[in-house]
Amino acid sequence: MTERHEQAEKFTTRTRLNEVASPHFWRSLEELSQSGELEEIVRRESPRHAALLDSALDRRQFLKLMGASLALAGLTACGARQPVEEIIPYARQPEQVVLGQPLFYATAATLGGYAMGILAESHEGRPTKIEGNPNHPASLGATDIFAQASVLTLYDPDRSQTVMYLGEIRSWGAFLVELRRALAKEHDRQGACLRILTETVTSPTLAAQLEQLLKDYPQAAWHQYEPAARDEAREGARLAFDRLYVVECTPSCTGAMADHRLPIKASEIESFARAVAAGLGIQTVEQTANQQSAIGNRQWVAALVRDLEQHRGASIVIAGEEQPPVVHALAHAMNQSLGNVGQTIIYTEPVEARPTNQLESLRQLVSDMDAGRVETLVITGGNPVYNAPADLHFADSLQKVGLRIHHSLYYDETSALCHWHIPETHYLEAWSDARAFDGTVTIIQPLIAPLYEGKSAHELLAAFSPQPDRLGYDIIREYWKGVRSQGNKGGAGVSTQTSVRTASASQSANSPDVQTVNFSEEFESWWNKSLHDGLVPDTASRQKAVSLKTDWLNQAPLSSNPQSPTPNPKLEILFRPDPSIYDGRFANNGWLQELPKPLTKLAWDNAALLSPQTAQRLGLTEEIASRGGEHGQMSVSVVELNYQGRTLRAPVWIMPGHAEESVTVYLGYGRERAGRVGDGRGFNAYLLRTSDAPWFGVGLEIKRTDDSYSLACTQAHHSMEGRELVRFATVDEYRSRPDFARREADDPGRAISLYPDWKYEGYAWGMAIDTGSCVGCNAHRTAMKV
Amino acid sequence: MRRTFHRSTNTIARVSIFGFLFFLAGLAWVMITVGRSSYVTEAGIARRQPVPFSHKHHVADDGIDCRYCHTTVENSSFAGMPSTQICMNCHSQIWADSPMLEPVRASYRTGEPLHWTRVHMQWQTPANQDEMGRELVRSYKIKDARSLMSCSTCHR
Repeated sequence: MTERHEQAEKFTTRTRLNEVASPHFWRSLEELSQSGELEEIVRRESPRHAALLDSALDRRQFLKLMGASLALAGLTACGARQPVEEIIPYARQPEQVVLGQPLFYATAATLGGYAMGILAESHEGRPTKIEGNPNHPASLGATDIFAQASVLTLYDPDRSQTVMYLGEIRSWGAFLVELRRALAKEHDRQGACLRILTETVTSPTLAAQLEQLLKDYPQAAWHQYEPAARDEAREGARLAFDRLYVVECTPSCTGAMADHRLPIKASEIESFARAVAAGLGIQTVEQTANQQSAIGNRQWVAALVRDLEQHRGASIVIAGEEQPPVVHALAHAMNQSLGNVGQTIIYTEPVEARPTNQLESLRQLVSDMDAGRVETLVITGGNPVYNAPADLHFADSLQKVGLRIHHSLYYDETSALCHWHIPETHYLEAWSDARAFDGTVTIIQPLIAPLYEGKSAHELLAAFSPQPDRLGYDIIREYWKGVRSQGNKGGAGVSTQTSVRTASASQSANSPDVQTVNFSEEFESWWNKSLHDGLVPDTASRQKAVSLKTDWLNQAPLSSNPQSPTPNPKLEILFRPDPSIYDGRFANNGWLQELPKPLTKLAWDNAALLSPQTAQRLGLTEEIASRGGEHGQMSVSVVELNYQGRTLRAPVWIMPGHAEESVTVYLGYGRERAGRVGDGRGFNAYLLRTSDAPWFGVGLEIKRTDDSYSLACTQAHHSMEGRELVRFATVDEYRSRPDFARREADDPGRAISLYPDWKYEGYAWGMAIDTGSCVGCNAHRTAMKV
Repeated sequence: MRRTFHRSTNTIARVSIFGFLFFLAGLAWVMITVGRSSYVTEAGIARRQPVPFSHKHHVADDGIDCRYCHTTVENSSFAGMPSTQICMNCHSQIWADSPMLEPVRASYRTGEPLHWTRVHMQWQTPANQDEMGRELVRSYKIKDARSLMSCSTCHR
């Protein structure tokens, strides 16, 4: 196809896009423009049919082969004798085990440090499935895709299995010897060259262990870094309200559920928030005329302000996790002014053990490493070599450290650059504890002994203490015993009520012996109840009265450049954790990789998302692959993304509903040492991400290349073949023709049959699915793979 | 005109066409019969077990209820194999010194389970348990599979 022809073709597609009448439901851009390409996609994407149509093996041959193999299968019944099998019963049957019936244990899965209560199903001692814990505040009986797929990670043969030193197998004892030697040196200088890098920590026990370590080595430092902040806050609120307004740049599930959605550039959201705040009577800085005009839709703002005013105390304003601090401050101010605080919003003490600015924390660590101030670095969890911001050059700095220890589930990019690698236990293998978003503690109990030589973070940190071989179970129990016996001391979340009860119990006791017996009895029953329920009672953080600082606006100047009236020739780039594999930690999970992502329906890959108009301006295309593989493929342009002097090649994906002149890239792909499933898939967006603009930045340049790339996409599976997705009519039309939804094609007519008609007696059952209650979380779809 | 084929060819053709069908049917019959024969299924051949155990003795002579050992038969698709503990409930008192029962006592001492050899291969999963129930109703003319109150209706 010549260049000119291509241009003309695209033009007609665009024209058709504009012509389509408004109430028309469609599922893909190709379907909307009816360019005749859809059938082609269906052929490509519906593997069941395409495989038979296209391949050399036609249906006839297929049936012949099947018939032959079935006949041969019959033969084996004659020849093969039954194999000798063994039955190995228990020597002593454990209590409550009914062979063939599963047992459920309450525990918790964590993501970004925050716990979600789950009930893990166990068949004869093997965890097989995750269900939600209805009593847990972060679950309420539901789970997410990560919890569902975590069972597969548990059994992943690519998980690291042994302690490694420079790629060679070593023993845990050998590691302890080396660690002791390093610690002896550190002890003399009070740990001045000792650093610990963790992910977000909410576990009370782990926090206590780290505090103890910092007490033993007062000059040592604990850093935290995790590439993606949690975004549950946004997701959680979406169903609780009558009307949902969403202002966003990249289409999300939340946006898809919204009653009113406004796509704008990420950098304009601050101006938008200021406009809404001003509408609510909050004094913000004087808006320039330019800023006012940057908010394209004044009516939208006005309507939103009116709706908020009418629902004082019954509304909520939530800022996206990726927004700069000033937008969060504005959201707080708006909630305050609307009287939502205490009604729909409560403030609590931070749930994290030590809330820090994690980017700042990592930057500090890198500068220490560069200055040669770090001799021993322990990285527990996380993969900073892969996911640290590109401008920090973490990998280069890391190699200046004398002794590097990495503790993780996989032998990953960071492990490869460390001296020692300690395999981590999966959460279904080890004792631990963690807090949920509201502070509720769950004691994480294992369902199976470690499959490999894994150690939990608690056991690794115990190696720094005088008792290096303590088991995770003892560490957790001792911590909570300490908390319970000392009342509130050490356990911020334990309520006064329980401590009073403990105190009165000990007072009423006659002798110290009886006291100990009473306490240990009470502790055992508390421990068993906490494990059984999957949460520790009365550990939710208490509500905190807050008031806005009067000078908050002075502290929050316009963080981004004010919008210039001339459109910026450069684009904006947005970074988001991948909907399926998050920040890359789930890259080796096949269930999550093959899960079509919400809205894009891409699987196994990431892409640079942009709007149809922007794509058209840049001359980028998306078309059906001329040669397909076994799955549905779209052939898309490959572009070169230039951002702050760094270049990355990425396939594009045209996403209706995306804000103009913005590009979204998903993090988590382009892994090199994820395992055999995740290696080399997609592109690594971390290579463009910088510490000054972790979530979005201006100044992206896009260069088109002549290359194209095939993306797996399931959007056109199960096509309606020209029939409507939804039949609809206005009320007037319905009154005049109540059977408007019936089509003649619906009734295929009675076929002649040898069988007598089936007589329905009593009820005739039907099934209805309320698709309106689907929020696109994909959890059920992941669960179906179990 | 000279005939290309002899007159008898017609007969040969008929016989061989029908004969081939009969041959196929016969082959199928042979295959099925061999497949179900005790030669292949090894019915009646005693498996080597760690301990000689007789259902007849324990159930018919001693009158122990099936559910004493097969504890989960009423709750699960798998009736359950008795743990060593269940054997030792009695055999710590009777036949406590029998050399035949030494493997059982060894298992109880060490916690190492006994390795029994499976005799009947079909371990029904819950899915085809339902199918099996229907099969019982059909082929054994039982009114309702749920009316099988006694294990010994089938397990004789």
